Amino acid sequence: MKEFWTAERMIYPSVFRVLIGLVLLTDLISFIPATDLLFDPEFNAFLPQTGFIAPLAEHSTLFLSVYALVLILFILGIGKNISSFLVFVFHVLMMQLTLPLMTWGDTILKFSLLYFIFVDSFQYLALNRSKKSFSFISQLAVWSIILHVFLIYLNNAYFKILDKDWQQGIAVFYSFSQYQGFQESNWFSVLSNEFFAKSINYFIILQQLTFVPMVIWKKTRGIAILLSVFIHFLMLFQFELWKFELIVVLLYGFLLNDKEIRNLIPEWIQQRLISNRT
Amino acid sequence: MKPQRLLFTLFVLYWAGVYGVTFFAGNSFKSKFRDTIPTGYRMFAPVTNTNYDVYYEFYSGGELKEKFFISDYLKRQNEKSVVFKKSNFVKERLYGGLIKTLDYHYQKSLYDELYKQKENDFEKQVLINRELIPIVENLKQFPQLYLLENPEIEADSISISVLRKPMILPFAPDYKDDFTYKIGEKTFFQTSLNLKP
Repeated sequence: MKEFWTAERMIYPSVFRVLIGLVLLTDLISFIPATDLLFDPEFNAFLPQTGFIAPLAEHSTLFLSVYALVLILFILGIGKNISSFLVFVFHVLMMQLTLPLMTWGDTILKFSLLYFIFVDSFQYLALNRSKKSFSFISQLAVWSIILHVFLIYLNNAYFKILDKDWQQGIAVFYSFSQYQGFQESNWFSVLSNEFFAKSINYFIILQQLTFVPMVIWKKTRGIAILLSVFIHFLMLFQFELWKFELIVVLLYGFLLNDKEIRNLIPEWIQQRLISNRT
Repeated sequence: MKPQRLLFTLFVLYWAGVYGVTFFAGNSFKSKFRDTIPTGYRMFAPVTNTNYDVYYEFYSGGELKEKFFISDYLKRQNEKSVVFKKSNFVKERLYGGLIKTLDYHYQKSLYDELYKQKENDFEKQVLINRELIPIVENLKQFPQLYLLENPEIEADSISISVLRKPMILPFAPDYKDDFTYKIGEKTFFQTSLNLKP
């Protein structure tokens, strides 16, 4: 257990900064065809009419352009923790502007970005690399991101154990039924079978309940993370909630230490991008 | 106290507070802190066990000109290029995604009427509840968007019907252990839109 908390995690914050920045930038670009609809009160009654958010909808092009610029600076590692802070602020503003579109992924990311403000993610993959060593505040912030991921799993498992539909083994069928095209998908035939529907239901509870101890224990860490990644990719293809799934999958990287991250990245990439600082 | 030790103490206190609120606090207490700390996650959970749809009828001079379910419209939109995926997602969320909230209030009002002998105030809620007003407003805004997308359709009034259909479990089709099944399949909300100047 001590190994899990004390191991160095200096590489992944830089990788996360670049990848989550790209996810948010892609999401922002994908909004462009929908902005006329989304930011026009004639077609969207959910838009805030008062307060400091309302003018952002009126000047949505300017708002989205500045957000895109902030994301580019963040990805390139320019502006250091100030750009991390701005990404958090813009993400929160975007959530307020697009409330009906929010998924759990956005809420998870909001708090992850809040903790990420304090992480020195500029040790690698940055135009303006940090010259200082990884600070204690950075360490606490990385632990906060990890504790947040653990909270998500523990709270989900706790909720599911107490929920009637999960206890009866019918929750997974209901969850899938909410999405378009379920009746025509392969999942329909699988989940129409009582044995499979209930087995998957109880397996999900077990997986969420055991995730934290399995991740902390070195020998089961890899399998626990791989299994979770597999489940999220299945959901990505079935539900098409690509942003939500990618946010969660990217957060798993914080559960791995530098040595484990280096084992995952091919040598030639390491030499080019994450060589040791001099 | 050394700065590092102080920081670590604050860190431990913060996370003890977050876990404490998440697991032990009541919903009203959690709602006060929801924006500032993570207070709980219910992901991959069935938000509802009912399917919904909206049926639109476009009239001109009393004559029916167009009729469709919004689910069919969204399905057609989804078949368009990947460039429009987000637009479709936005339409789905704005015009159909929150009907479960409308139904939740419908169910609650009906339940209170049947089992608690309270007045059924659903019609009143639709007019005054700040959560429901934009949902109903968007139900009326969608046909105006549709008319913009299809300028060949002439309409002076639109009838809007919101339907509910409890999900049937294939391995337990007689399952009724929930109030939604007692209400059953029906149109639970109707409204209209007059476009005459």
